[in-house]
Amino acid sequence: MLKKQKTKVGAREFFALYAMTMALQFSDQTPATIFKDAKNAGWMVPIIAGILTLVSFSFVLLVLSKYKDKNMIEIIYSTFGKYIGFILCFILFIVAFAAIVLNSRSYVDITRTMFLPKTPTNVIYFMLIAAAYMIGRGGLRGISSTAWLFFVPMCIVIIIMSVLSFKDINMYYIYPIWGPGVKEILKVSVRHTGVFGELILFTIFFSEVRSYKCYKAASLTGTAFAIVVLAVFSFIYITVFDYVSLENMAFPFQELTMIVNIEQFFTNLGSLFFWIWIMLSVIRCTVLLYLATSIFCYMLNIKEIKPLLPALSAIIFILGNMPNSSLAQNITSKADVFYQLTYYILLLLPFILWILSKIRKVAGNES
Amino acid sequence: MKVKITMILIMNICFGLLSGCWDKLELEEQAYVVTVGIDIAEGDNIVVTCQIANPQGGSTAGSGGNQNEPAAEIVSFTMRDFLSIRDLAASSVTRRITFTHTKTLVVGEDFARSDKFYNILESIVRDRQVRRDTYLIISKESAEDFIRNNQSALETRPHKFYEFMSKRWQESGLVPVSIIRRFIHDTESGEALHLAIYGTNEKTGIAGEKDEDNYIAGEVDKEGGNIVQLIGSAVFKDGKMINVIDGEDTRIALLLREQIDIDTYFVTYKDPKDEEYVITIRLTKHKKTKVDINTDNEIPTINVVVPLEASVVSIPSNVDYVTDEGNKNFLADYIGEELKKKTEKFLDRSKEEFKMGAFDWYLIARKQFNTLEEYKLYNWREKYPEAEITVEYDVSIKDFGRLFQPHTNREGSANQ
Repeated sequence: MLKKQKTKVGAREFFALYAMTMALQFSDQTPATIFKDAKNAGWMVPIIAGILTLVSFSFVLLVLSKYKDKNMIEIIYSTFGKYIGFILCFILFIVAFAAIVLNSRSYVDITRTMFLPKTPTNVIYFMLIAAAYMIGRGGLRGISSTAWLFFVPMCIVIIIMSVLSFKDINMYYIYPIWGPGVKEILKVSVRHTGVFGELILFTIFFSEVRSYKCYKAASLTGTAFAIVVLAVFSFIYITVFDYVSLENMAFPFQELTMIVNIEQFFTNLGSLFFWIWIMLSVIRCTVLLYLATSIFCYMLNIKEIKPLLPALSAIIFILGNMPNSSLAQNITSKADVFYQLTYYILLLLPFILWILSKIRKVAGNES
Repeated sequence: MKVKITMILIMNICFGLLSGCWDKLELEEQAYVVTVGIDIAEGDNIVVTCQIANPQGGSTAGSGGNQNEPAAEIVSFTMRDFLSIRDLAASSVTRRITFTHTKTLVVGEDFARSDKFYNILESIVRDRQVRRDTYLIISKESAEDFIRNNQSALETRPHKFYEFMSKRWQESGLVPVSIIRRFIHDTESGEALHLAIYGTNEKTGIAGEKDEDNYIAGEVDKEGGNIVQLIGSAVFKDGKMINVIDGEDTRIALLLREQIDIDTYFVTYKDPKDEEYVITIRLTKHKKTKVDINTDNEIPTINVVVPLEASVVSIPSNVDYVTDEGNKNFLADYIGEELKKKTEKFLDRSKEEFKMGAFDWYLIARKQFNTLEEYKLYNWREKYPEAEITVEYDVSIKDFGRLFQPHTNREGSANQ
């Protein structure tokens, strides 16, 4: 029993996994896609989207509390049956897979544009995916321990950045308070529930976590952390740059690292943040890679996940390197399709799952 | 086990070989550009001037530097676009041009007044190396002349000149602290004039008496030292330079902004009780300016109260402003009135000539609305020139320097 306990992931590590993968989006192109539509009210979007996702997640928790030892895929199969279950799992897989391809590409673009302009894209991409694969070989326990290890540096970056940007903040930039209008903010928030998509997708790992209580605590605190970080940073971006400049900015976080300074002595802090940031993004890519692989394996009932990692890494590498996966498209067309796909599933699936499990239960009682 | 060891070995070799691969930088091979100048040239071309810091020159003896070397190398190239200087420079500069430490961008007035300026500036910001908090200086002559003639005896290191100057600007308010980020923001918002630092190294001189701050660059009558003068500001509207204002108007513009952009500064006034003399006063904006904007009506009303603390530093006329309460209040009101007169003149100019404000009031107006849609419908840009603006200066006299009373008072012969 003790041995089994050890192979499972504890609440602390799982919290780090949640907090890191979701919160790290403050430093990639996610804020840029939010500000494009939500303008100066963009800081509300993470809060509303987070709450929406949490509401739908509470249904997942209700369902999960009934199945102590099963993961999400098994639950879907047992609720929806073999065929519809497979289709749903496949859609989940596509969502997770698209997330890793889009995100990894986004990190490569940022690295290339801001720091390593001469290095070929495919080399950076290869390094990123290779590193993600290396960490992924450690299994979920290895990944979450790594996430916990880097959780503290991430907090340090977050705190330093918020403190240093304080003097550049102009509170007037957040007005008019409702920005493009309440309706538009809600619309954008619904469209960006995909930002917290991991909340639902991580239910795949449910059976790997020590207990239901652990899982619940870790997921809720992790999400709360991510909501706060994303909202605070969106707020900082808006109050430092104002939406008129933000609309044209591809990488607000990197721009922010370039303008913060400590008096006149430490001025070029951008590269200092870069090396912490690149490590964090490797971990995020690892998590997403492992997530996609896990869904794939559970879907096809493959017991061993690790042997499939290199295959999926290779596919991601090839897809991400496709000539069309360029930066501008990432922000516009592709991301839109991706978010649209995800928000339907992520908001509706838990609800349907819950209703169906209720019906099953009632039907089971009657028979 | 064997596999593990081989893996670790391979990884370690990879780390060694792959570190930085294509983008590796040798510190010694970098040419750090401290100041960039841009001028208009014939046809579609621009002249780009780079002041490249020499890490060996100008350092103190004993720290390994070579004192005989010049502190900077200044090169100018004529070309189509700004960033291609990196390659063109390779024709004569031995090191690789790097803009990561660029502190200042100097733009010739002729170029700033042309339509092309804003486009070129945007292309500069697109580059990953150029920082958005680079200072923007507009030079009366060409930027190339400005950079070449800027020889400060105190600061042999070129980057220090601007670093230290920027602190003086903040203190005196004679020039606005203008950075590229703010310039782009003012321009993109379409609602604000941008005030950029105005400088020159041509001394023009001016007839007639001047107070201490109503100069524009070139008019300051000084001898010796660095020939560069930075005073007053270049006024930009929609990304194009339209005019120049003097140091006094710059101070007023900074005072009218809500935030504290100006620390403390000296002014002289004719002594209201004895016109023969002047009194010198140090003014401090100790609190935020209070700006009330009412956008309920078709014509916006703007009420501004500028809080100022005054320290009287010299009273050559020997009028007792110190112990006489009446005189003290009279002086405070007098300063407020003087400032108000000048401010109203400048506001009229901004409404009639520039048709735009430079005081960030549009942000306060923005706060009055619930959505961006409503704000855009109100059309602040069109409304501003008609706005009813009242300005009050709330001057309180804080102290009188180190003396209680005028010297002569002790002998019982002070005036009044």
